[in-house]
Amino acid sequence: MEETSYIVIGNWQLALAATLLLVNIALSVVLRLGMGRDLIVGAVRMTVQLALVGLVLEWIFQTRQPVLIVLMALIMAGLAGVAAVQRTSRRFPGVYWNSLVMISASAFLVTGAAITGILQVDPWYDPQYLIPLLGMVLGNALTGISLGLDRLMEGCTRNRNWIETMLSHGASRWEAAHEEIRQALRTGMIPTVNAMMIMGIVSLPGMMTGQILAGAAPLDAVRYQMVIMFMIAACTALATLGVVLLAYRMLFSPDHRLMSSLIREKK
Amino acid sequence: MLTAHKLARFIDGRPIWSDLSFSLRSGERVALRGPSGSGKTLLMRSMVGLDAIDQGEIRFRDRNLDQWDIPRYRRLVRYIPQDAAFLSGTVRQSIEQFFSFRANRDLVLDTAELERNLDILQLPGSFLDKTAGHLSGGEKQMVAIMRSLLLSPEVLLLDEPTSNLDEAMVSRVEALVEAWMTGDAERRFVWTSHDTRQLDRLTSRSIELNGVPATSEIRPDSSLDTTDRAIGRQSRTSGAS
Repeated sequence: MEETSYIVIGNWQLALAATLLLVNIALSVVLRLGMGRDLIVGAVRMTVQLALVGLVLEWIFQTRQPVLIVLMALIMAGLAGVAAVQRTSRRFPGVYWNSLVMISASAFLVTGAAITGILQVDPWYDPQYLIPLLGMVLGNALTGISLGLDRLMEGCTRNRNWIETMLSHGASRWEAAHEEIRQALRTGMIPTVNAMMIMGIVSLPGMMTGQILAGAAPLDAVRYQMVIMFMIAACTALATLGVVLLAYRMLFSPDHRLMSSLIREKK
Repeated sequence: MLTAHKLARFIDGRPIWSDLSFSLRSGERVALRGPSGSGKTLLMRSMVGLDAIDQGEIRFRDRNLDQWDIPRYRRLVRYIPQDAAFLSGTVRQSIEQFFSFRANRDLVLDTAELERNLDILQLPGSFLDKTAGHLSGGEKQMVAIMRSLLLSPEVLLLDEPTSNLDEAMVSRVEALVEAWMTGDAERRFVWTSHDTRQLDRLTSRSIELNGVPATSEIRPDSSLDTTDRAIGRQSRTSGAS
């Protein structure tokens, strides 16, 4: 085992940490709050998922095969693209492709620029940088996409009458959709903007905390956090804009018609 | 001239209307009649491309609907949806917003005309500063019609324009549309209403949608099947009789 600057957590210590949750589960059972089941399922899922990811990452970090690393990155982007759509309450044909293409394009663009241009990681596929940075960027873009898509489809459904009134008075599809697009982008960006607003005041961001725990100097950790936040904001904005614009082109036909029949409620 | 030639629209394989032909000439006042569910709203929406047609063609000024720049076409052929109002801001802002669309940029809001319209509707000047949340259903309907007329369309498709209005307001809205008609010889309108006396009073001709009998699907050998072939037809009525 190589020398580490942090305390390695053993199995016993893990089990001890899990008992922290037992207290809450006991309380929930006694007071009949109905949270016990959710807490147990959540805890078990978290444990299994993280253990598996840990094994995969360990393997990838040891082999350091660029093909495997890129494959892992593609799978992560694919899962994020699908998850973004699954969180919305309305669908239209092609929405999964829109999400997959836009989240992959913007996440690879932003992460690629950061790794090769800003951090100048050598080799560029070094998983120590590529995987965590991509993961954080994807996770946030996913939220932006699902919120933005949801808001756009909600707006086009709820304000259909108003949108069609504008269209029938000579508005182009862009003029009629503009307010809905604006609102969708704003909604998609709210979590990212809020996170930047309170960062360091209300909360210490998870990645920075992790680096400090791992022994990094706080000022270095802060610099990493700043870079990742710029990356997250850029990628979320790009991905949300891309998906919302593709959805707009789908929902508003070139002959300036709102295709409201394409929007289906989630079953 | 605005013409519809052999229009058909199917929903779930069932024709809402089919083989439907008619034309609207300058100066005409036309009623669109038919029972509820016969597709009157759908027809009006299709006439301005808010809904698709499955067969046939719509021509205006010797050009097919596909050949028109649609916002430009809709500036001339205007459909006013039921419950067409606005979401935020004041009445005046909502009117001004519609003048800002690219297709309407060459139009200027004529304040004298606006005041004339308010006079006909017997609304005070302060009405323009009312916000969306403070308008009744009837007032919203009046805003929608007034706003449309200020953008000087040539053909007006009015879908139940007075459904939320009390009797006194109905006659003022009718007077407003009448005043618009006399402004230019090119102008014409199509009007739907549940009030057949209103249609008799305002219009001189009808387009009839007979609708598909609701039972025709259930009784496949029914004699009603023959009506499926041509469920939309045009007829002339003798006007205000």
